[in-house]
Amino acid sequence: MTLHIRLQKTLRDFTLDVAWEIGTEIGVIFGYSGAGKSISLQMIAGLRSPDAGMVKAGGRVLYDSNDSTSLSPQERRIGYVFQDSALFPHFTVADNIRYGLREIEKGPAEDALQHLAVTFEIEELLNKYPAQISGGQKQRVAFARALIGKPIALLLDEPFSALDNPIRGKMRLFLRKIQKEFSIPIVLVTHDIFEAYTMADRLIIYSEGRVVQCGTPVEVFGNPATEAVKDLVNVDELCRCAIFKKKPGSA
Amino acid sequence: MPDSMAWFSLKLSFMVASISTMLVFILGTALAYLLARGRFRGKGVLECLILLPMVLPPTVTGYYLVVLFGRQGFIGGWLYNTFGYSVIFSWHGAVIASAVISLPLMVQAARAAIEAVDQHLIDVSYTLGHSELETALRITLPLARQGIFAGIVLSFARAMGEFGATLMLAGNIPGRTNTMPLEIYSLAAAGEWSRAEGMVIFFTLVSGLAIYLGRRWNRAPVLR
Repeated sequence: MTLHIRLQKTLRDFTLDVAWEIGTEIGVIFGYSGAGKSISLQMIAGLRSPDAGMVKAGGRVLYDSNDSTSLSPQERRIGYVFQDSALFPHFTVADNIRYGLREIEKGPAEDALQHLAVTFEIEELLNKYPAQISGGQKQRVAFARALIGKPIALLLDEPFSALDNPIRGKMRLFLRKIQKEFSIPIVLVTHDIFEAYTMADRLIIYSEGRVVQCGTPVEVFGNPATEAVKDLVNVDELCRCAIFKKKPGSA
Repeated sequence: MPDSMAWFSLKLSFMVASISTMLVFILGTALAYLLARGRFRGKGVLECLILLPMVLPPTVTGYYLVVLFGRQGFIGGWLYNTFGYSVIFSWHGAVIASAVISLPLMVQAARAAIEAVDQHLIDVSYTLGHSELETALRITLPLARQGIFAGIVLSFARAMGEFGATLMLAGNIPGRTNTMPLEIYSLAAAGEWSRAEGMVIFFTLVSGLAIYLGRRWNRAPVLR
């Protein structure tokens, strides 16, 4: 299963023109704020329209400007997790997750719910409301909700940036678990250099609306293609982050 | 002890305001949603038309309603010629007048609440496969419910107190269309101030309570 995208869109400050492809792996989009990372995710999910391009996932064409194909977000079956979890405050945790199912079939739905609750260690939270649980727990619920409908790809828009360091470390382990269990393309947007290096199977570097380099973290960090990439994947900064994150008391 | 005419006008006012508020709730919520989330041509014109009764003198709104619903009117003519039915000088006319006058209050309160719903919640609902209608009914409107309740309360109070447009469309027929505000006017015009006093106090209390509840619901934090 692959996710293949080519997107063009004229924005207020720059023109986004990107193309990349990932398989059943974690692709990390890394770059400065305002480089077009989040908007790329929105266009893949169908929440915004590109001016031109193509989005293909799991062999299905979701968008193609050449033959005017443009599936709605509802038809794309792409999981999306926002930085702020975006849990429905008037639903319990269990109902939030159930809402991720398109057609409610009580038996299988409950089985899937219980399975995800165990996977994400949220069994004790099912009857609570979002306001009653912590930030890390909310993100785990958001992951479970995005995955219960068996999406063909998962898009994560800086899902850990609002969390404390120890929780972030735990969430990264969850993400690895998801990638193993669900075997779907996962796109993670981040501007955290440590997260980019440790989580990426494929690292996609964005700068001012362009993909300036693409490869494994070792390739990109070891051999930055341009001065801009060199500035962005600063190894000293990575070492500083790694040392800081390994201090006693942090994850 | 209020006399029988005062009781009649009180009951009529409650009936007119209740039916008007039900209509305004359904139509006003739909219009508020359309204005808050829709992108279409003529949105500004539609918004102006809905809000006009707030700034026009009620008698001018009433004039337009007579032009529209009178027996020679665009809608009224069709109703009369097809069903032999006319809203002029009936309590149905009072319902229409109250609904038109109170609609802007409902639309404004509900629209502000709908616009305040986090866009990410709506986007997530779409990516989870739910249609715009389902998202509106299960996510957007429940989360905007405080604003909608505030709109209902304010619309009800406004409908209870409607005078000018009702007078133009439904008239002031004792025992048929004399709602409480019209009855107060009739009593005052006849110099019977003491008989109007109870109704005046009642109105003041109902309006004060509506403003209090409306503000309280509008300020309350969104759910849990």
